[in-house]
Amino acid sequence: MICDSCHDNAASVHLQEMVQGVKHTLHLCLTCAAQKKIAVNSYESISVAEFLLNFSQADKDDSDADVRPAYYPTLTCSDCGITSDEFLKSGRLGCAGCYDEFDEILRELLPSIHPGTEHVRSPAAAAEFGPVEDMPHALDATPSELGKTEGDISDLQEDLKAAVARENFEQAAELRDKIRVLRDSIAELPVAQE
Amino acid sequence: MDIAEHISRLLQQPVPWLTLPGPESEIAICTRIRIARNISGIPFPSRATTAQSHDVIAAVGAAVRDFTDAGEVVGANLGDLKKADRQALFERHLISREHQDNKKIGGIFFSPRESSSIMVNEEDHVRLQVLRSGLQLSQVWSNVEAIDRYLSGALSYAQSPRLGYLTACPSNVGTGLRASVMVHLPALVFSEKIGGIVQGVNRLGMTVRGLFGEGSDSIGNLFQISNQSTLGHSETEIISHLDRIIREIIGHERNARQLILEENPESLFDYIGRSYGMLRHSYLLGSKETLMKLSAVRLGIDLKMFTALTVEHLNELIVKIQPAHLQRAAGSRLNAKSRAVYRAEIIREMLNEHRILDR
Ligand SMILES: [Zn+2]
Ligand SMILES: [Zn+2]
Repeated sequence: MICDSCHDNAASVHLQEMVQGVKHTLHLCLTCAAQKKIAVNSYESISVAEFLLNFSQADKDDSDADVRPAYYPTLTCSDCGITSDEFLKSGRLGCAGCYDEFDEILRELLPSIHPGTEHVRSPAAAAEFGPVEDMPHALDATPSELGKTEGDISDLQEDLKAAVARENFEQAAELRDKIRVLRDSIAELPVAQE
Repeated sequence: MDIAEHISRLLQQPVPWLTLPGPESEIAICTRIRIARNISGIPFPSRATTAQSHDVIAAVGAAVRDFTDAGEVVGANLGDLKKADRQALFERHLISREHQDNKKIGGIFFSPRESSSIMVNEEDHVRLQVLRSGLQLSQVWSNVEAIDRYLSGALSYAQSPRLGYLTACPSNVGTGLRASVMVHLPALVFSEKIGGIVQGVNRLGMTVRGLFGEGSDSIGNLFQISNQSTLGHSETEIISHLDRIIREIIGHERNARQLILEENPESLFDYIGRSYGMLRHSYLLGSKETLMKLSAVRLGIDLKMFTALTVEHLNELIVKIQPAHLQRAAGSRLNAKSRAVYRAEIIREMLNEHRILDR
């Protein structure tokens, strides 16, 4: 599957959303996902409109956002021979050694795909490896949030899409801010006890 | 009997695990967990030499036979199987769509009940999966863990203290784990609540896909819900999180069914009755149409609308009516039209034994 953004590399980040019963899927390669700063790690889906507006970029307050795309020097894995360019194009590494060779690139890419940057072992397994760092927030979000405010957000997203379609970007920006406020309010919902 | 024959004989039977009753099976059809592993010191399959790839198949085969009764495990190089058999393995969820065409270096091992299988040299050296009917995440996970423990005793896996299991695609690194549950959500689709649910599920870090994980629409109101990421949360965290989400979705679907039943029972019964009538009396059935109608019948089973018909009957049908299985049953290659004829025949035959009850 080819990346929807650069139409060149193989896509390995897949984002999905449902708008009025129609599912939109956005397939991105690792490079584009990283460049768009798509916040897969924030456990959110983004809408196609958001993507077009580079919405998610604003979520992460990053002053160097415009300096991207980052330039990676071409590296070659001494174990299997693939280059970092080949990796970024296909999204696939050639061997375990690539993880060391392309460490610098991976440290930047992995946070765009995963909620954490380090492997967390299950308690039983962890005992053998010593203590594990505190686990991040995302899994604490509870399913009981399901069904709340989605209606509002999806209504706004509809309007946002329409605004983008009409190329009324001023209105789109307003709607985008409203959605962001709603999103934040969801993120702050209390965590239900089980 | 050679291995190809052995496999092709298995393929004439229903999928054993899928036709067993499972918990929450009125809504949750099946649970699947797979883990990705690679053997240290050998490049990932896309970069390995053919000789290295065959070594991997041999090593995995030896490890598997070591902890099972050798005669019980079915194993093959995909290159030794006919295309129709490889396609049938895919239709039974034993191998992935991509692995079907992996004739040069691909291998497959699976248990007699077909509930556990190992794809060798797919994207990673080892892709172990366990399947069960209904919602059984913790049971499936303990199966996976047990097999993984055996395998890791015999095979040395590529891993790092910081990144966990190293995989060909960085999207699997860490636990290498993908857990998924297939759910049937007709009432949420009808009441147009599915969009909000999908968004909510996405926001909680899970992916929603249609049947067989392809295309954009979910044929037959079937959705597969799985974890998106593998690094940063432990296996048990991922699995218990998914379990909570699935249970919540099941609750929403139940409520939606109840609501339709209270507000508009006639149109619901009518819809199910018509779908049943179509299936029972058609002579040409396309696969997509069939799945849509079977979705209605599945809902009717939950509403106790039929004599002895069960969801397990439908699970069996869903496997049987796919192209490679139809061809195997017919014993010859079938074009789209003759598949539609044959599909209709199989369905008429099964449904003739199950009457709709008068209300
Ligand atoms: Zn791209
Ligand atoms: Zn390498």
